Amino acid sequence: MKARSREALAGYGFILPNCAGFMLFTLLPVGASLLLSFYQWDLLSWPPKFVGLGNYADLVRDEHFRQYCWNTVFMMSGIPISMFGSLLLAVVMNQKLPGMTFFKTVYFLPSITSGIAIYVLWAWIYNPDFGLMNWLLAQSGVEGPRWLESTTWSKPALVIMGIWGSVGGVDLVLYLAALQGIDPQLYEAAEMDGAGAWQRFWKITWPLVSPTTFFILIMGIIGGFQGGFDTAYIMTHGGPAGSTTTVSYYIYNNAYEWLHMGYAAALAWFLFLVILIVTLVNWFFSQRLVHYE
Amino acid sequence: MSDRAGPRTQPERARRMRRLKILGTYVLLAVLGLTMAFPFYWMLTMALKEPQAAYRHPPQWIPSPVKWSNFPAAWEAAPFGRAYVNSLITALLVTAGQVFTSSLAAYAFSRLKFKGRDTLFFCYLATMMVPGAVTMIPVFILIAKIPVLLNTLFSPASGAFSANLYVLHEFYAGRLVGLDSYFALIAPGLFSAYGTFMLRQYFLTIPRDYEEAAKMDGCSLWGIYWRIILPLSGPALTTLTIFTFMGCWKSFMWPLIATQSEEMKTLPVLLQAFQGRYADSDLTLLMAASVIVLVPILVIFVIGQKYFMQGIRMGGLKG
Amino acid sequence: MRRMAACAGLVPLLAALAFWFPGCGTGLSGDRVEITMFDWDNIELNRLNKEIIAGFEKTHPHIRVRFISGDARKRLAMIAADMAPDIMPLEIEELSFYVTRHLLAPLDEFMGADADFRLADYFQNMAAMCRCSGKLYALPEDFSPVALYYNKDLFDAAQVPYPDENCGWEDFLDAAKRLTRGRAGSGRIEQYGFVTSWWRNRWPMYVWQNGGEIFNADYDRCLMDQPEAVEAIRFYNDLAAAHHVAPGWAAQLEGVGGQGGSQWFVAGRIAMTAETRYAQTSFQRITAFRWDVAPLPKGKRRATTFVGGVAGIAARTKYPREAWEFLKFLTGEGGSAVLMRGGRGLAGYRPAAEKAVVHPGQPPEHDGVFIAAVEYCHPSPFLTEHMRTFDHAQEELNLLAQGYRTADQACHNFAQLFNEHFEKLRGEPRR
Repeated sequence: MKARSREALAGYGFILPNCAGFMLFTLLPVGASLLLSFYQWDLLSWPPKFVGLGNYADLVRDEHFRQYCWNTVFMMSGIPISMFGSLLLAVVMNQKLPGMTFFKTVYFLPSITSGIAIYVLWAWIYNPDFGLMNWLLAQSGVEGPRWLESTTWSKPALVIMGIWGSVGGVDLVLYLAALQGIDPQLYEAAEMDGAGAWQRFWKITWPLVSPTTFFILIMGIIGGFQGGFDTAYIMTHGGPAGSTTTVSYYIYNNAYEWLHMGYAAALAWFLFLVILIVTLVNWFFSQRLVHYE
Repeated sequence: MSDRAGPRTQPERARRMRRLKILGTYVLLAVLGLTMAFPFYWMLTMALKEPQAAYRHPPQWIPSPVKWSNFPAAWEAAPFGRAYVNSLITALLVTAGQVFTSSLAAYAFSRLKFKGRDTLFFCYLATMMVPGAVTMIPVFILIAKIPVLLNTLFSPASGAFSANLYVLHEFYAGRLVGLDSYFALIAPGLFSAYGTFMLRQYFLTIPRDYEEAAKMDGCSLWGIYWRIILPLSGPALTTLTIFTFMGCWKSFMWPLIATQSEEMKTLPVLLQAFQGRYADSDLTLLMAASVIVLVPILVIFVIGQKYFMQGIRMGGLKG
Repeated sequence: MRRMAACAGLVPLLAALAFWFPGCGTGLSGDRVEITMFDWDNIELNRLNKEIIAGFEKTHPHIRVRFISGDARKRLAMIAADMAPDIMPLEIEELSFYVTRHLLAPLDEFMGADADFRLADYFQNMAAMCRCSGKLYALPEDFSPVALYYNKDLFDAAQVPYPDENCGWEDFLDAAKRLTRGRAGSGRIEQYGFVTSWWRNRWPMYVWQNGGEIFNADYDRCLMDQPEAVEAIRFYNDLAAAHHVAPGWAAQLEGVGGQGGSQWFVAGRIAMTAETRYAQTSFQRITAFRWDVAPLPKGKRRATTFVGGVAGIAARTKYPREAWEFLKFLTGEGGSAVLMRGGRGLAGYRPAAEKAVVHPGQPPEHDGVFIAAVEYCHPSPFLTEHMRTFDHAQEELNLLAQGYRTADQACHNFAQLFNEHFEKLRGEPRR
């Protein structure tokens, strides 16, 4: 009995420094934003006007919002691709060959290069008349689409750009760390039993990095639903015809450009519900699939 | 019909296969590396170009003439020296605080049992699901009102909590608390659910055998945390340190609205001043300024890689 | 357990030490009043504002001005937290929004009580735009109408006469055609006559020039579906879409921070561009060719729009007298001289603006065009109150520029969106 309550007390003690600040600087503002979603506020007048569930009712009727939800989901399709790419890359780079640190640094460059530089460069790459993409396609005899000027191709263009930007970044580093923790004897034993490279990957590597995969997937979902802001804000301005506007950009516009802060908060909390449900589903599935020691 | 001697023995053939595999690996990595490094290279060349050459078509791949003066010009145009100090102080304190408090909390969430543990953890996770755009104003108002609250409670006459701080009677060091203070820059960033989540996941993969043995030897919970879990988490802690530092260094929106005087601005906030209003920016100057801002993260990342590998060796996880 | 608690407590203690260590000064001492000024963050503008403040503090030693730079979001956050800056820059489109929310102090009593101040020294129609329901809420600080810059060397090479105030739409189109050329055999256009930007300060004037309007006088109906407006939009869009004298949408994507397209003028690939006086800071760096400025082409009547702002005093300022002193200085003789020397737009203070456009030996030769343009420039009709509807309506024009709509469709949709919006607002104050 005593040991258990001591452990509980210790638990609270360990949490305290982080939790206290968390309550004040994170939980409190989050709660405030929930409250805001029941009001109409243009940031400049006081007090805000109470509208109850009015914002949520508008949200349901908003056709633009439905389009933006679809945009957001579409643009998240790059996440599993990029994650898998990072894993494969990590496996390749995990060999004891010289120069891997150099390559790791180089692959991390897109994560630290100035966002504006990246967007201006990719805007040029995707230029339909003389950009690199269409030039490459022309070499193979294919006429390239209008990319960022086209309502059908603007999203795939951004997804490609996103995969490129993230395949060598955080995920790669996390997977490399996880791979380092795998006992090489397991591979040797498997090889001696006659397992091929692909089999070794699926039966050893994949399960043993599953906690990292789980983490990356969850963070990818949470981040992905809230993403797409920078590209829309700096590069495409959400166009053409709102085809690259994500929910996050829509929330920003409502809050700071059109000064409908309450509606923006309602959108944010709707997004929260979606993320929560998807994460819960992911969590329950992973309880079965994630391999902990 | 050829009498030419080929690899007759198994090991020789295997060696040739290996060499080809290694070559193939390097080719793949090199091609990928080139695409990754290209924007960085392009950013550097833009920083060294004349403004007129910036939009020339076809683009100038190698700047000529090379305009080194963009860098000193960018440095002069905004208070980079002071901003470096601010960014450094903020990033170091936030990183240290976050890694420390997150690891404590992650240890509790992964190893200790107490009531409400999993619900609380889920709350942590849940707060990451609310977009920052709508929480930013409440945090801003909170920070802005803290000195007002403290003043009313403790020193209504002198308003001491809104005092300006000076170093060596000359350098303005911001306010004590509230907007335009180091407190405002650091405090909200100290408590992150991301770090707690990541470390918890990592701690869960550490085998419990070490702890069992230590407990039998009479080690306290704090001792387990300090002497066993932390040393074994080298890679995760290093990773979290690097990412927190980087994220803090690049953070733009919050330092923008939390600072009021130019002396308190951090580096990314300075960059905004290089963008034109009503007229196109001088992209070359903007790129030069961007390079100035990101050099430290690059250095940190390269250095961090070294400690990363050391941490793994010290961790002793390999058998 | 104790060690753990001690360690846990060490962190905040260390943090507290870090904050306190620099040593506490008590900040401002003495009886100086401190007012805050907010302005947009830009390296050149920051330098100018600091110079203005230094000049002001020298002649007003009992007032200290605290300069805060940032962007629109920062200004919003400050007002939301009840920390509105005493001196606020605004754009004319925002004025009514701020006035109806009682965020600006009316300036008439200050003007009446102040014998030194003469409103007549400012550009009159700009000052008139600063009035809401008859009361003056701001003073014009720094703005610029839009005019037509042109590359003299390209004009000479194509033997086209320089544009002047007699240019109509036909002359303009003709010149643009003759100035557009491709490299032989490449099938690609290497040099364009003009660049069309669909930024909201670059297209409305063509509607006005054609005798049309965007909104009616009562501001409860959108007139973009009227024939004059449609014709104007069609003419503007056809420059790129039909006559190919201007590049398409791609030019908009490549500009960073600016309003689309003029970086190509600097690179010598475009013969004419519609820009404000603010562009001159980057144009001054041009050494490869000679350039000048002319009024925009005429249409059925002259019209142009402007960008730039006015400055007002926060309604809840603690020091209205001091704020007024600074506002006077900022927009008047002292501040405008500094702004003009630093190469901004036109100062609201007329004598400084008229002095600034005279600079023999330095392009543009016809800088006075901007002063003349003030007489016929109109503010952007897209008020902050209707920003959301405007952004959706503007998207229709963007789609036109990208080839998804015809001019008729775009204009019709534009008007429809606004008219539906006005329907919804019926009964509530619209302005």
